[in-house]
Amino acid sequence: MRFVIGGKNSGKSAFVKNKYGIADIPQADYDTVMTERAVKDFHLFIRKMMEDNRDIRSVTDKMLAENPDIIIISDEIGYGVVPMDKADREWRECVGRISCYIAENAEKVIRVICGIGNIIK
Amino acid sequence: MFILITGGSGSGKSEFAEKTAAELGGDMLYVATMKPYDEECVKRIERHRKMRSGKGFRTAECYEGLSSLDERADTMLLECVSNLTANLMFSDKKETDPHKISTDVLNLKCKNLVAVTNEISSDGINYDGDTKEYIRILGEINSLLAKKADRVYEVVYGMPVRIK
Repeated sequence: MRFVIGGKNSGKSAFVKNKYGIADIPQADYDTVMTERAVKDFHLFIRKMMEDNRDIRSVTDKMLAENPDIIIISDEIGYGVVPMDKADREWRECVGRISCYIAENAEKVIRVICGIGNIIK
Repeated sequence: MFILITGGSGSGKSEFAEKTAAELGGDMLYVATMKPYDEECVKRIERHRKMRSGKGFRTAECYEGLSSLDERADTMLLECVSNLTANLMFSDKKETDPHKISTDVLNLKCKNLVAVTNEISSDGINYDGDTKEYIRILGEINSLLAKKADRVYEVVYGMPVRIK
């Protein structure tokens, strides 16, 4: 599994398309994460799971078991001030925690800045 | 030689950029993009001027149209792409084409270019309207410039990390 992170519009999807020869990268949702080679906006999928009251850790584990070679693209969202809204705060925290877990289990973690990928793990 | 320097706000990009430009040397021109439209900007400009003084830079102010800048130099230091982009987007010009903006940067008449840009898209806030559009356009410009750059650095609290 590969985990590709970076700020919004930092060129993550273009980087993955180019590097791994993938034409289209779908949004992460309950179906795509189980079957697709690469998914994007995993941070938004986390928000969706929170809103659906799903156990995010078990969905993530299921994804890693069923789709062990997946390339997960997700925004880094933890570089700003603490959000005013409680749901935003919980989301930001949750994205951080799950991202640590995914990174821990990833074969490779690539951080994209200005469209350039740097392997940080 | 084209060197792109990025990083968060207050990370020490300018100082590193000046040092980098001075190493490239020759006749050096600082291309300033910040409009002195309020006291805060004036202070910021003054701080940068002081930092640069005695380092041998000429200064040209160019808030919008880089293509009309009638200057040549061995080494140019453009500061900064994020400011320039905001000026272009929100002025009468309403220039929003990342390709046009990045091409104008790359066409500056110099042997060596050091361009400073900004990392602004990792705060997790879901902006809308103009701000969302600004983040998208600057993101694309940054990728276009980085692709052409000989070197790219991210400056983290004064420490330049070479990423390309």
